[in-house]
Amino acid sequence: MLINPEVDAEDDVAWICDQCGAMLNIQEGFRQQRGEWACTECGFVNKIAQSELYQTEDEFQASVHDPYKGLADDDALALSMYLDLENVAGREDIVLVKHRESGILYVKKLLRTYEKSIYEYLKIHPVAYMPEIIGVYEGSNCLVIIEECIAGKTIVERLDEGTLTIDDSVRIAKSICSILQELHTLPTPIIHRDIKPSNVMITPDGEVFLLDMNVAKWYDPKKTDDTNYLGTPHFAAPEQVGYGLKASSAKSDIYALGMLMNVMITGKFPKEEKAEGKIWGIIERCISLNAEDRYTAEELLQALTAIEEV
Amino acid sequence: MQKKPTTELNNILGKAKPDQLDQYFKENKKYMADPQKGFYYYMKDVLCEKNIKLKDAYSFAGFTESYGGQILRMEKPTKDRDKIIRLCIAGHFSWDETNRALKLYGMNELYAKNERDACIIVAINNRIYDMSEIDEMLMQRGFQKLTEDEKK
Repeated sequence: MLINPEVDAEDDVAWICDQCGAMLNIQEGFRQQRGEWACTECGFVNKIAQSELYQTEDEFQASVHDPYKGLADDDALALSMYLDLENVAGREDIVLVKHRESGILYVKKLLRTYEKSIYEYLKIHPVAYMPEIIGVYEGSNCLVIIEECIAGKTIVERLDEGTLTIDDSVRIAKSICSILQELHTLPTPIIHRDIKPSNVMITPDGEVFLLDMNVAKWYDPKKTDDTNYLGTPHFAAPEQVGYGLKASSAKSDIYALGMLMNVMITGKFPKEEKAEGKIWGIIERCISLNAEDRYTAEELLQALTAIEEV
Repeated sequence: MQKKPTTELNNILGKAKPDQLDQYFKENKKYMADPQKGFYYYMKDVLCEKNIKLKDAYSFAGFTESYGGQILRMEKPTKDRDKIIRLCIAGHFSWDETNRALKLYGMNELYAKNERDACIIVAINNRIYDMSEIDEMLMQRGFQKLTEDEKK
């Protein structure tokens, strides 16, 4: 794994196990020519190749953070067509990029936890009013996504100007319902799992986009618990963070949407301040602790439409 | 690298009177967003993170310490993009770190549609940092090699 002049070894290179740090050169049967070697201490299969040579331990540690490490050559070439412009919202893992030939702006995301198959599916089957997935590239450390750049204001930014009217909140919620309907009625439904103000974008034309599939997962009716408890505090439904006897489902997104509606109208969560009027009845059902009591996306869309017509 | 936060500089500047501006620039020169210093500090930061010594980087790139230092500090600006690429390869930069360095120096980033650049991207992507191996890759495809025959 690295050239270490401090270690006394027969070979020029001191090979160190990437998992446990044991020196491989001195393990019985080790030969550099083998191409790979299973560490006798921990069993980890180390690649023995020029690409695994590092000048220093620090260089190796730095490579652990390199988001582009281990990309296939075609992917590295494809990604180099996008020039980094600036980080989005001060984040190192979300970058505004420009395509070198077309000049079109895109968003590059460097994801460390992800469900790759969801992005691959959405690339081929785009969902209306979600950023189109342009490229999906997997390296050793990260999944690199290039997606459509949607210009506008998130609900967070909009709330900085003041709370929204009930009418506007209902309109936005209806748009999200339509998007969720599409996600939830796919052959294998996709659960978004992170509906919250910063993930809803309003374009200058007033269109509503749902962003960020980083925490999304395929719905599995057989699961009684989520493998990873992911989501955002207060917006995540109880079952999404380990309470109850079921795993996340489409109803988990409805819970978050209910919370979002309350926050849009009052600026606060229901615990602090409930939205007033007929909308509260709808929100209350959305955020039922029991997932089965909540609306489906279609039912919620109908309920919101009924309120609009009054 | 040393940084004074921009907010602190703004606070100082906000209280400065016109005749104090010269003094302000003199005292805070090293913190100013000098585009030249951007390249220097970036190269140093990346090499420091990888714990690769500057003198080793110069040597692997085929520069004397004196000339290497002049390139790094942009005291002797070069229009030879290959010199910057060599320095990055010698420092074991990844392809995106190389691109950032080139951009900071005011040069075009590695471009996949340029076949020679594409070879370099692929070499770096596979962590081939042996200059002679990269030269051979380039020459086999009829491209100019990265290294020079004469020493600087």
